[in-house]
Amino acid sequence: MSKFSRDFCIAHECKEASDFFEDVLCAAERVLFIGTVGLEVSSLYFPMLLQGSTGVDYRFIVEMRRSVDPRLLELGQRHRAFLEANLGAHRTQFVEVAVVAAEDGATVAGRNAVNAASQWLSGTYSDVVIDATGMSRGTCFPVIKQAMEIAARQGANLHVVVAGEKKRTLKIRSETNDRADWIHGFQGPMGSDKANDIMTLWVPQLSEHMSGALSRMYPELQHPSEVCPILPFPAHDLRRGDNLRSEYRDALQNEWEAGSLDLIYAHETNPLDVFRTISKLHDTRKRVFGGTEQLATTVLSPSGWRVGSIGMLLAAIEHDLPMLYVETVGYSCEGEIPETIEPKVPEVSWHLWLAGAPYANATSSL
Amino acid sequence: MKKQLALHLLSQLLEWDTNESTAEFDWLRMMVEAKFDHYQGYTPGERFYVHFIHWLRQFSTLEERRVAYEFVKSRLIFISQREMHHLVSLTYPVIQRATRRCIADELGLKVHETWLHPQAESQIAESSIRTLYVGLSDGARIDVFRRENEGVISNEQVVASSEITLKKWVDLKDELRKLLDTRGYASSEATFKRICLIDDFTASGSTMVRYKDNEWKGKLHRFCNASLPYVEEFIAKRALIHVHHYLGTEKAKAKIDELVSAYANQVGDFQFLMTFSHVLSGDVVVDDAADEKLVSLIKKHYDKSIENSHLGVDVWYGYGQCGLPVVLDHNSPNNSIALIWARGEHADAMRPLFPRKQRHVQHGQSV
Amino acid sequence: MDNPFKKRATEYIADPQGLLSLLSAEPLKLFLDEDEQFDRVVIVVGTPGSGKTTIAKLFEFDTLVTLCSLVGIAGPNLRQLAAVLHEKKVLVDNIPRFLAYRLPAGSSLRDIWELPYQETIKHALLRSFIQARAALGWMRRMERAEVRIAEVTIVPREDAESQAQVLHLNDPIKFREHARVVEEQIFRVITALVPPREEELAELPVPIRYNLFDSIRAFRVPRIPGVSETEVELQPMIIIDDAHELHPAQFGDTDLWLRNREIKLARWMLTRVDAIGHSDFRKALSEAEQEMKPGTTPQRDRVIKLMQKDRTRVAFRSIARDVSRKYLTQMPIFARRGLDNLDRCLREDAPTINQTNLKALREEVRRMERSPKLGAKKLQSIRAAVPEHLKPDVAEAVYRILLSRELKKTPQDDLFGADEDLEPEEESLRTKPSVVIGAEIQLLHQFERPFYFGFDRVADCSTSNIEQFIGLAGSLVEQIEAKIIKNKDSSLDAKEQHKAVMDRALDTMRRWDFPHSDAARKLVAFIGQRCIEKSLEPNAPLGEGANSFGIPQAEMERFQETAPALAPVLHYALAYNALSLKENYLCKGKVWCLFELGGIPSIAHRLPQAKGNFCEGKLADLLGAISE
Repeated sequence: MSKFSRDFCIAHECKEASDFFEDVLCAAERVLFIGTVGLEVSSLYFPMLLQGSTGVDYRFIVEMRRSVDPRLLELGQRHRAFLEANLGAHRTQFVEVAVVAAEDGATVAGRNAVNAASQWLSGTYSDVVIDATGMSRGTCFPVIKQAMEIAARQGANLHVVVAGEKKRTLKIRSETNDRADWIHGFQGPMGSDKANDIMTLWVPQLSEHMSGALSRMYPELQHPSEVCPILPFPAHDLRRGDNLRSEYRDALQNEWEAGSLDLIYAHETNPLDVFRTISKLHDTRKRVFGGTEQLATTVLSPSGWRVGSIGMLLAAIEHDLPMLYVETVGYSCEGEIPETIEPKVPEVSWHLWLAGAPYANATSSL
Repeated sequence: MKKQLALHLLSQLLEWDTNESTAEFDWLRMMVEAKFDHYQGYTPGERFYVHFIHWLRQFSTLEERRVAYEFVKSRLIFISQREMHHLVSLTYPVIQRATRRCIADELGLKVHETWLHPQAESQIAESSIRTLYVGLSDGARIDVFRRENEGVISNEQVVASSEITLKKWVDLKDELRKLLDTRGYASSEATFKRICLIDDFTASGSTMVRYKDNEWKGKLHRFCNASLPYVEEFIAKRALIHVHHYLGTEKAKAKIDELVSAYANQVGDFQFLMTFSHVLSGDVVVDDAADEKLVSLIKKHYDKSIENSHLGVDVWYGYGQCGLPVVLDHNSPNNSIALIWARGEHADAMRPLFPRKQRHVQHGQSV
Repeated sequence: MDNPFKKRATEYIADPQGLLSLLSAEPLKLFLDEDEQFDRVVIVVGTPGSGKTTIAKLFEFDTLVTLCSLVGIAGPNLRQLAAVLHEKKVLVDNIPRFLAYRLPAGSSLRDIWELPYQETIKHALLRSFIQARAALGWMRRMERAEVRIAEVTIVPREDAESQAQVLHLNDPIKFREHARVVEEQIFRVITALVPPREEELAELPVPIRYNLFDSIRAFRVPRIPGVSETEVELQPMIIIDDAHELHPAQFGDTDLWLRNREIKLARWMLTRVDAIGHSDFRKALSEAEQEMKPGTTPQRDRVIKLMQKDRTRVAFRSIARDVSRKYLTQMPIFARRGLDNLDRCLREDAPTINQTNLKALREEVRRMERSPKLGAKKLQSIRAAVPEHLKPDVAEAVYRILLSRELKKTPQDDLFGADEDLEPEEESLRTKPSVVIGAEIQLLHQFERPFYFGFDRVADCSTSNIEQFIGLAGSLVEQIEAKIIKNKDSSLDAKEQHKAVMDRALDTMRRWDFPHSDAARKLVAFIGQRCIEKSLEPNAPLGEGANSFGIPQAEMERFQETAPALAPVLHYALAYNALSLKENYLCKGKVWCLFELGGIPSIAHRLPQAKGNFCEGKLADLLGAISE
């Protein structure tokens, strides 16, 4: 497959990304843009960058959850109306995707998203753009994996974009599901009998107020041989890592037995750094276990920091790694909701070209 | 000092009740093991707890001690060795991206047009070979930089000191020639087009470059000055001097930008570029607008005996009044609040929590 | 590990020896208190932290083998465990009777329900997958016990000759290989990004039907190293853990399937309380709760075992003591001081409210005494009814309650109206202990008099949930540790204990992070508030006070239709010990459904742990609470 690798991954940040959109994607033959109706205003950024182009089909996933603060629902609806008004109703479609099954709360986001997207991806496009900004990992990552497979068959270019702010603007609290799930398409052999023979290293991204979710994930792994949590560093607040260590000290010390030497650092808002960091770790394990009969894998758990978790996705695709997570089943809001929509250029934005033309005979390096 | 004893003494000094003790002991045990005890300015038997107790005892009232403790707990930024190493690992990607941008500019392209653009990619690859990486101090941890980039940067492109002798330049050039030849750039000149000066930290920018007493000073000027004779033979004309710090402040960034522009105008032989692995947000700075109890503590427990001609006067917020709450694992920067690192001259004077190692003294000034 | 109390549950212990070292015989005795049935499906119901997974892990073959091999040289604890297992015939002559494998349901099983196939196919896939996993699991467990697989004989059921061939029962290596291939094939279907179409299933390289449970009877192993040098016959046992993660239809089908009495395997399903989507199951559960006799109707094809039962409160105290002793001995700071007993560190000397407050209380009482309805003789007899050993503040508060009751029941003065809630025994001259507790609760609310202290009370607050106990005990142990460091004595007084327990409860509730936790908090807050109001009524009509909210049982029968918004909230609130449900509760001639506050919310609202004490209301009230 003509796709990115750890040695060559075309990436653009901020102005470079918007230049790319303006110069290349706006002029592209036919673009499929898959996004979501998000709560943060940054989720409007990338769709609007393509506003001027006539060759874009917009498909928005509307993630349906059972318990969402009505004010947030209303905010989501306002964002949807904004998109419809500015992008044109004739080329936008909004498809509701249930995140959990109504009967029993099981996570079905990934399967449902893949079902919805398979219809869109069956069209002929020169470029497919997936905007991860507002999408939950359980929805976004399976769709990206699916798009990679289909884009490869059709020779289309696949792009992933993500935007965010250095500090959260909305004070949203997530309610997480009471079970851990493998991200659809990223299960590998985990959960089968074979998994008993595999020595697992667990690499969870630590993030605030996720201890419930993390504590649900750990037993699912059935005794990982090692835990190497990732702390965001450098981060906008350089003490964030210390605060997270404090928040998770019981888990670190007593449950996961992860000491200081087991912690890994990765840039809070640079997915390439997260990708590199995990790749380095993976390489080391390959060297150690490569010559032996012992099977080993690294299980990634993206949580919290969205921009950084795209880096985990890259690592998972490149090294074929399983990903475990806990789906968000509800949102509540603890602060003010903006009264008007004020689109702005986000502080952090990335464009990553994952598959297509540049990789056909790739020799260049980053 | 045994942990239990230390915690006991601390709970007495800060008059914690059982509840507070429980919470604080937990936090302390974690941070001391994870970071504080690893401060390289400590010696065996005299690690964090000893210093901390000694430091707290300089504050005469309970309230002051609690303000001091709260400062350590919620504002102090201690960058551990591993965190620093991560900042080191970010360097090469930053430099490479900067190279791509420069070459894009030179060729009149946007960055996204450089990918697989034959001329651009060729120039980027060539530029990468014709780059010399220079460590400006011990803090630059050039050995770590080398290790992080094994297989990507040749050993012969990395030097640990900015004082490069003629013989060394000759060796460097020889190796450069070999590298260019093996990588298909036989027709390229064996001179360095880019020299990356790497250092760990800048808070005010003045160590790098300053204009004082009608002359330029600082590490950048010293290097440029010393390198002038080597231009053309070892260094390309109008080579790019790329200064990279692992960590900087917004203040330093702005200052260096301003000064380097001025310097570049005066000294036409080189071009200049500044980058950082990370820039500290201005939020962290402690100044007169900070919590008044903290400000009062900082000023009250200030000892003029720490002043010298280099530091200046009234430096309770540290050199350049930078007001940083930062400690690096290998040393406390003098731009941090003096209360953190300074030791007064007499017995009852201010005591440091993370004592600063003075670097070598030059003409009476510690550097 | 600094503080074993902070490690959540023994479920994380990977190796048998580690697990055994932390298990105690007490919970096992409690669990196996009936005549066990290993010939029919057993559904074990318990909330998280109730210990069901731990017991399941004990039953796994390699754990039992380790126990048997160590019992000769081990300490009293392992010997006690072994004794209980012998009594219940899980071990016979120090040899396991069962080859058990615990299969966590997990998302893979549930995902089968999302495949785009007809129901019958999905059920078939699930059954085959479970059976293939069981086959592989049994082989693994034997291997871990160092049994040589090649020497194992798989004993087919008499009526299963043709299947025996298909499944390669005559050759354990081929048997395993076949199971593996089937399992992998089904697994690929389940985890495919886009699953194969239904018509493509028949064309898969490996047939995905695997019918093992109807085909085998036993496993014979020639020897079990360290345990038996002679041939042993083992009954296969499958334990499906976290069965609530199955879709209700899957749960129902699996239940139905495993109820088949032809199956010769022992089979358990471990589930949380909320897998009770089906009303028939809820009914069965309610019946099981009310059963007082063990081992009833032998013709039942299903047995329901409850992990947390009312009558186990006292027994749980001894489990709690056992667990805390084990954990304390692992903490050097306690071990060095010979402190292996948490009891000793939790002082029980009750505090008295301060003089000012006591004076205020006494004045209130005197005002009541002056009521013309109460003559001097009456006052004397009421005074005499107050137990003697009580501290002055509690005595006064008890007296106040008795006075209020007396005042209420005088016929000429019907200020409060008829009170139907009074305990029938209120006429008795001896004051019940429940009234004393009620008085303490009132003092807690009125004057902040500590209530949650002493080992027994802390254990009771855990509502027979080991994990909750460990959490509460952990907070106390942390405080004691801090005190030791501060060179103070190594015990906590009542006030310190009370604060630690309260803080822990409030923090736990604040951190609740499960679906609908916000609504659960509202529900709990509503019930808590009503219970507080009831408990603070001057005549303490419910003795200790209330900690439940009761609605007519009839309203519960169709609550999923009449109050659909409440169903999912209740589902999770029950699962996470925020509430527990007691249906078909008879009280004063009516049938009620009680929503009992869990241990943690009871503490957070400063209510007693009292069973069956409820305030009355309607389903609509609960609905109203969550829709605010």
